[in-house]
Amino acid sequence: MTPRRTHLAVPWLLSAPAAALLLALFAGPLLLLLRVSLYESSDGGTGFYRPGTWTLRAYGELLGEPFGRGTIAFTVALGAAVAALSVLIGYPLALFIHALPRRAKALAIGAVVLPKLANVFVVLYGVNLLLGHSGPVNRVLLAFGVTSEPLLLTHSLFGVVVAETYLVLPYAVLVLVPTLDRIDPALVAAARGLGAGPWTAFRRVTLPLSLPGVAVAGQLCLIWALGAFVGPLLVGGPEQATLAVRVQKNGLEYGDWPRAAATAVLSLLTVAVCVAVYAWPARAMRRAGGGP
Amino acid sequence: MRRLTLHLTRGLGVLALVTLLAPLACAVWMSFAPGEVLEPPTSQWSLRWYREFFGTAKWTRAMATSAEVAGLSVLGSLGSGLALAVAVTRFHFRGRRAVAGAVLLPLFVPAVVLAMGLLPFVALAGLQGKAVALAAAHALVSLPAVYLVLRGALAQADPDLERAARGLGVGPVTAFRRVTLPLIGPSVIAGAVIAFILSANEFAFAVFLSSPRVRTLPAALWPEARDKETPLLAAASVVTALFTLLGMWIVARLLRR
Repeated sequence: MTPRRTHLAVPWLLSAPAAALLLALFAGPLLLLLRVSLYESSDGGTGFYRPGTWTLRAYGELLGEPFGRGTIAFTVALGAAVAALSVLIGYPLALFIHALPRRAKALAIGAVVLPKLANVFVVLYGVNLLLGHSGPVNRVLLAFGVTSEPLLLTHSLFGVVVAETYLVLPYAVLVLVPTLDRIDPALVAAARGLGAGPWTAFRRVTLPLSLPGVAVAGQLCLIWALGAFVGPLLVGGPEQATLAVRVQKNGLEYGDWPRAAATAVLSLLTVAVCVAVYAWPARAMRRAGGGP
Repeated sequence: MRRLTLHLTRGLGVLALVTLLAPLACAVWMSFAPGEVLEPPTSQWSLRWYREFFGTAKWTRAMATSAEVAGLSVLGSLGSGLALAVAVTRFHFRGRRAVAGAVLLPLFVPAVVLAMGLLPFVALAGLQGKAVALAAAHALVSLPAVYLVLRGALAQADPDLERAARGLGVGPVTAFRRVTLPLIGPSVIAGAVIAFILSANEFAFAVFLSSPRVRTLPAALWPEARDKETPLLAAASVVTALFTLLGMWIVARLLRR
C-alpha cells in the first residue's frame, strides 16, 4: 500500500505551494477586504478604522451620494467604451499581424506588448503626443474650424480613453492573433475556390470562426478596463475618477480604509454584474461561431 | 481594386503599430532634452537626464529595490508555478480541475481591489513596508503567466521518456531532474524572465505596498509623473523599456520552436 499512498500524496504536495499562495494572498485578502469595509471609519486619532465595529455606513455613503453613484456609472461607461475600442481596433490589427510572415509576426507582437509591459508612464507621452498643443487632434480641429485656438485636451475624458485603450488593446491583440492562427487556412482557400471574393470569404468563413475568440477578448478587455486605474490616475482630472482611483484616494491619501475597502468591494461587484450582462452577447457570438 | 484593398489594409496595420509605438518613441526623443521643460529637443541634445537618473541615489536605490523585489517574486512564482504545472499535467487527483482553474483567478480581479485587500492583510501580518510583502504580491500576480508557460512546456514533453528513465532504475526526483527538466529548461527560464519583467514594471501593488524605505522604481517615479513632468521620467522610461526589451528578446529566443 505504501507506494500507492505516496502516489496519492505527491500531486497534493506539488499543488500545495501554489494553493498556499492563492489562499494566503488572494482569498485571505479578499475576505479581509470585505471585513474592513464593514468597520466604522476612524475618527481622527490613530488607526485606519475602529476595530470591533460592524456597520454598512461606508456602503450607504457611497451609494447614497450622487458622487459615489456617478463614479460607478463613469467606471462602467469608461470600461465599456475602452473594451469596445480595444476589440474594434484590435481585430483588424490582429488580422494584419496574423497574415505576416513568422519573423515579422513576432516583431509585431513585441511592438504591441512592449510599451505596455515596459512602463505605464509611457501612456503620458502618447496622450501628450496625440492631444497636445500641436498634436493631430488639435490640428484636425483647427483645420475644420471647430476651434480657432488649440484646445487643452490632455486632462480630459478623451485623454483618459486614449490612455486606457493604450493599456488594454495589447490584451485584445494577444487573444485575437492566436484565435485567427487556429483557423484552418484551407477553409478560406476552399471558399475562394468555390468563387467567393476575399470580402465574402472573410465575412462567411473567417469572421464567424473567430467570433468565439472575439467573445473571449471582449470579456477580458471589459474586466481589465473596468479596473482602469493608471489612465484615469495619470492623465485624468477629478471628474474622471474611476472606482479604482477612489480606492487609492480613500485608502492611501485619506487613510479611510473602510471607505476604500467598500469602494473596492463595489468595484468587484461592478465587474461581476458587467460580466454577467456581457454573457448574453458573448453567447450569441459563440453560437454564430458554431460553439455551444 | 484588389491590390488597392491589400495596400490599404497593410497601410492601416502599419499605421496602428506605429501609433502603438509612438509614445515610446516620443519618450526616447524627449529623454535627450537639454532643458527642464517637457519639450522635444531639435537642435540641442543632451544626456543630462540620464546622468541625473543614474547619479541620484533615490533612483538607483529604487532600481535596486525593484531588482530585489522582482528576484524574490520570481522565486515564489516559479517554484509554486512549476510544482503546480507538474501536478496538473502529470497526475490525476481530486481537486485537479479546481486548482488549475483557481490559479488563473488573480488575472480577473482588478489589481487595485486586491492591493487594497493586501494593505490591511500585510499590516496584520506585521510585514508593512517590507520587500518580502511586495514580492509575495507580485509572485501571485505573475503566477498565472508562469503556470501557463510551464504547463504548455510540460504538455509537450513526452512523459514516456521519464517513465523510461524510471524503468532503468532511477528515482522519481532524479528522473525529473535529468530528463524532464532539461526538456522544459528553456521554458523555465522564460517563465522566470516573464515574472521578473512583470514584477519590475508593476505599478498598482507597488503604490499600495511601498514604504519610504522599500519603494520600487514605478512607485518612486509616480510623484514625478503626477507633479513635475520633467524629461527625467522619459529617461527613466527608456531605461526600463531597454531592460524589458532585453527580457522579451530572451523569452522569444527561448520559446522559439
